[in-house]
Amino acid sequence: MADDDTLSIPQGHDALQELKESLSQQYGQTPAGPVSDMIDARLDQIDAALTALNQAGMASNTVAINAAAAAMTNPLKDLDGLKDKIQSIGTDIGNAAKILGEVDQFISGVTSFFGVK
Amino acid sequence: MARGTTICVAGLGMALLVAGCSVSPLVKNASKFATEATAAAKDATSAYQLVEQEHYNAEVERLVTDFGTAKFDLNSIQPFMQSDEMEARTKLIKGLSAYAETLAVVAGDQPLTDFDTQAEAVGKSLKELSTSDALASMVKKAKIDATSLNAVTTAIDALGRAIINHKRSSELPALLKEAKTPIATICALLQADIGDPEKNGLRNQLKNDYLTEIEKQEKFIKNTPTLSPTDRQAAIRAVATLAKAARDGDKTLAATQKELADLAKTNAALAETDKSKDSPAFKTMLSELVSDGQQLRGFYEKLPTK
Repeated sequence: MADDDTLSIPQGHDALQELKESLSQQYGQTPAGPVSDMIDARLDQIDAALTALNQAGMASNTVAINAAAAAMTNPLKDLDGLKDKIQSIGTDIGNAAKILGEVDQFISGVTSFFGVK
Repeated sequence: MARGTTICVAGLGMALLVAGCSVSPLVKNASKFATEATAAAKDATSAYQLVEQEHYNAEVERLVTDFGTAKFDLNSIQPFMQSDEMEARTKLIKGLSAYAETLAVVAGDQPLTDFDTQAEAVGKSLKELSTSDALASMVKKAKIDATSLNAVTTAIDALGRAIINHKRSSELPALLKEAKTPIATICALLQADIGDPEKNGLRNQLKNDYLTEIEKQEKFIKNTPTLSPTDRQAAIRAVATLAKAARDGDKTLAATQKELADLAKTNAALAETDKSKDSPAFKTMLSELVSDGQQLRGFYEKLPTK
C-alpha cells in the first residue's frame, strides 16, 4: 500500500475503511460473548477515526500530521494479511486477542499519524 | 354577443398574442431553468441534512448500547460538519438559490422591491466567503483542474456582483455570461463534498454511519437473549431495513451529485443559447435536469424537517 514513509489522508482512510468492513462482517458472524465485544470496541475506535478523517477531509487542512511515518509503513503493507487473520478470528479468546492486538496497533498507528482520536 | 364585447375579446386576444410573441426564447428558457435551479439548490441542502441526521442516529445508537458502561457519554454526540465549514456550504448554496431567483425575477419582470435587499445580502455574503479559509479548503479538496484558488474566489465574488447588478430582462445575456463560471465552480465544489462511498465526503460518512447503526442493532439482538421470537424477528428485520436505507441514501447522494453536474451543464448551455430561437442542446439538458430533480424529490421530502 504505502511505498515510502509518507501517508496521505486518502491512504490512511482507505486502510481504516477496509479494516472496518472486514471487522463489521466478522462481527455479524461472531456469536455474543467476549470476542464479539472485543470486535465491537475496535469498530468504535475505527468509526471515530474515520469520522475524524472525513471531517479533516471536508476541511482539508486541519489534520496535524506528526513524524510517525515510519511506524505506519509496515502495518499498511500488511493490511491484506491482517484482513485474512480477521476472517479466522473464531471464538477462541486467546486467538482473538492476538489478532485484535494487531488491529489495535494498526488503528493506533493510523490515528497517531494523523493526530486524530 | 354585443358588438362592443366582441371587439374587446378580440383586442384582448391580440394583446395576449403580442405579449406571448414578445417574450424571447431566452427569457422563457431562463424562467424554466430558474425553477429547476431552485430545486437543485434545495436538494444540495437536503444532502447535508441527510448525512447529519444519520450521523446523529448512529451516535444515539452507540449511546444506547453503551448505557451502563464507562463509555456512556452524552457529550459524545457531536455534529458531523463543523459549524464554520457548514456555514461556507450554506453560503454557496444560497448563492445558487439567489442566482436562480435573480433569473426568475429578471425573466418574469417581477417587482424588485423585496428582492433587491435579499439579493444584495446574498451578494455581500458571497463576497465575504470568497476570502474565507473554509472556501480555500473546499477548493483544495475538490482538486478542480486548472483552477487556482484565486480563480475560484474571483468567480464567487463575480456571482455576488452579477446577482446585485443585473435586474432587467435586457441584461439577461450578461447575467448568464457572468454567472457561467461561478455556477460551474459552486457545483463542482458541492459535488466534491458529496464524495465517494468508499473514499471520502458525505457518501462515505453516510455509509459508515449506517454500518454503525447496523452493528449496534446486531449487538442489541446478540446481547438480549430474552427477546421473544416475535421481537427478535422484528429486530432482525430492522437490520435489513437499515441495509436498504443505506443503499437508498447512497443512491440519493449520487443522484444529487449528478443533478449538480447537470445544473452546471444546463446553465452553460443556457448562456450559449443567447438569441437563438431553437436550442436543442439546452432543451435536452433541461429535460435531464428535470428528471434528476423528480427522482430526488420523493426521497428528500420524506426527511424529517428541523
